[in-house]
Amino acid sequence: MDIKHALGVALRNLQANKIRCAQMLLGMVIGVASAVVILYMGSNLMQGVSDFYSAYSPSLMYMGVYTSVEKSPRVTVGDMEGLIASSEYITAVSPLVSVEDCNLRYNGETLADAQIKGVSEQFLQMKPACQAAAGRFLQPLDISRRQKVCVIGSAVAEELLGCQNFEDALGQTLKIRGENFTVIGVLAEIQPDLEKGNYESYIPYTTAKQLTGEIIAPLQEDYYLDIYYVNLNSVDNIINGRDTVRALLAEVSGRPYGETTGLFSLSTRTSQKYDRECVMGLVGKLLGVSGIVLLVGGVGIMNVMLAAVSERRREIGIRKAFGANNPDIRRQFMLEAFYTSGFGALLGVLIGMPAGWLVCQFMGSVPIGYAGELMINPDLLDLSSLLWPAVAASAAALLLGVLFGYLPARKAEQLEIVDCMRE
Amino acid sequence: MAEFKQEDALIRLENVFKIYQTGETAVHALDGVTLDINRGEFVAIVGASGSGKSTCMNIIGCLDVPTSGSYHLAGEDVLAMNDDAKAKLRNKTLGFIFQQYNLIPKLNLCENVELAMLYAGMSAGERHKRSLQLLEQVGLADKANNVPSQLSGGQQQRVAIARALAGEPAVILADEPTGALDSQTGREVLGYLKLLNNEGRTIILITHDNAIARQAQRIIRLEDGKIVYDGQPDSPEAVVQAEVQA
Repeated sequence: MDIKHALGVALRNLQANKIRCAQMLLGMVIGVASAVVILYMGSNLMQGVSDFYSAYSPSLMYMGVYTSVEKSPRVTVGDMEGLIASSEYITAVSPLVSVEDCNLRYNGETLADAQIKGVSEQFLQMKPACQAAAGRFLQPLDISRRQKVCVIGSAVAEELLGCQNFEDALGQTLKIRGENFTVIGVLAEIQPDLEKGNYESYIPYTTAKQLTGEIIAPLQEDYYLDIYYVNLNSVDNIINGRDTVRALLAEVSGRPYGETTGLFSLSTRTSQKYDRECVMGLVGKLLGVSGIVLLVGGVGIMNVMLAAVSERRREIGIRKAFGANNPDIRRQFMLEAFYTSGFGALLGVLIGMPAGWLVCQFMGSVPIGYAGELMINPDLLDLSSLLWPAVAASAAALLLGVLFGYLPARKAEQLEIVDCMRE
Repeated sequence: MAEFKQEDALIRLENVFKIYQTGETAVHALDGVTLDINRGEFVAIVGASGSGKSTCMNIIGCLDVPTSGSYHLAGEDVLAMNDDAKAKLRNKTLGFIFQQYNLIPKLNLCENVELAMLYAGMSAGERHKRSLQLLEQVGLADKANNVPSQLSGGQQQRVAIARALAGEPAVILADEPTGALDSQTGREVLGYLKLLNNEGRTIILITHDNAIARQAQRIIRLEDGKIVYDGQPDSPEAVVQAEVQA
């Protein structure tokens, strides 16, 4: 059976009955188009997840202690930092004190988007992206002396201080909650910056605690804090690291080890894994819907092909009379189903590619797991990231076309010549 | 399979029955037909409608299988063949011409003529070249890209003749080929069949028209599924009786 011949016949049959053709293709087109959009969005989000986490050390663990629960553990900085010495898995610990609702001011200008975080010098190990492009990061003395110094993000240096050369920013004075802070470092620019990391500024956590006005212990080791970053020696030790921290919490809170699960939340690279799974889950569910649409499209093709087989009995009889054997007939109808679904897939891709692009332009952000509001990056429009969803969706459509073409093709090959020629 | 010997008949039906069971009654469309047709013969099978002549042709053409009996074509036992081997026979040994032309409406004339070559696995270029030659022979090469509905009945039947010849068949089976045509075009079609017979092909013509049948060298007359006459066309026994016809 000639492939070109079957193509010609398929095209003429599609052309001859446009309404039927539309009926047959609608499901396929919508199914493929939606699958392309979803896969494109999914790959964009995946990229977003890995970009989000790429700023952090792969073996970072983020621990939040629940202070509102009964017998909540009061974990001090000293307790946590003690783990570095006592545990073989933990290499660094830094508290995190967020200074909420606060503007950065410089010479009367205000930067509203600024985020100010109080951390220790060890934070640099956890977020290597915090390398200073100019000046230096925080050092132990800044922490212990509660220095009013800050390391600012590149966007802060550019937009608030108007510095093209980051060296010019060093030594400048910023106002945070009315207090003067000296700029001691400017962070290298993060690219792509999906979580506004370039607007973050870091100050010693001791200073941050003082800024928030809470009464604190005279020694920094005795500070009770809720949030710590913990860096592990390897991604593989996340479970071990978690258990080490749990044991500490059990000790501090006086609860049995088994009852510590409600006292803290942990997120780490496992949270990246979790976030990837979130994206996968979302994409999977959406794909399920377009899969159903595709399936309906496949059934549509089957129905129309079945009708076509009955209508074209005479043609089948004639073909057999001139030497077509059963596989020839089967191949012809399966090729027709294949071409038809291929045509549907093509239309679907032509609709889905621009639609996927449009959706990503206007969708903004999607809430994903620990990463929070994950921005869809509208600039992520290279052809290859649109191409593989198109190829995958088309392959699925073609496969379905062939599967659903099989039954009509079987029916066609089983027709007896005399029955075909009778009427 | 046995080697085909020259002295064997090209077509040999022995005691062939075709029985349709419709409820209580069994209809004997063919009721013990035995006949030999030799290479190069021009045979007309005549009979009134319902006499079994179409069934006879369907069986000879490997389009249908008998209920019992045996059928040898070119020395080979057709009834022992699988579907694939029968498809090959229809493709290479047999050529069909139907009363209703039976051209495929969506295919152009070339593609219609090419069918047998397509299933014989000939390349597209060669198919096209040869189909044009065949259309040339029936005087329709200039309409090669038309579809059948753009042609008159006589023209369509000429395309059907070209198509029947595409596989270089030894046997041409023509089922009422002039039945849907006026007498002038009918004679033209018959002229083509005679020409093919002169080239050495065996022609089996099914008709209820005595005038057409008389053009053949031999007439086989069927009545109620039985052969009632087999011989020269000039015998009064050969003709289908007027009252039976009506």
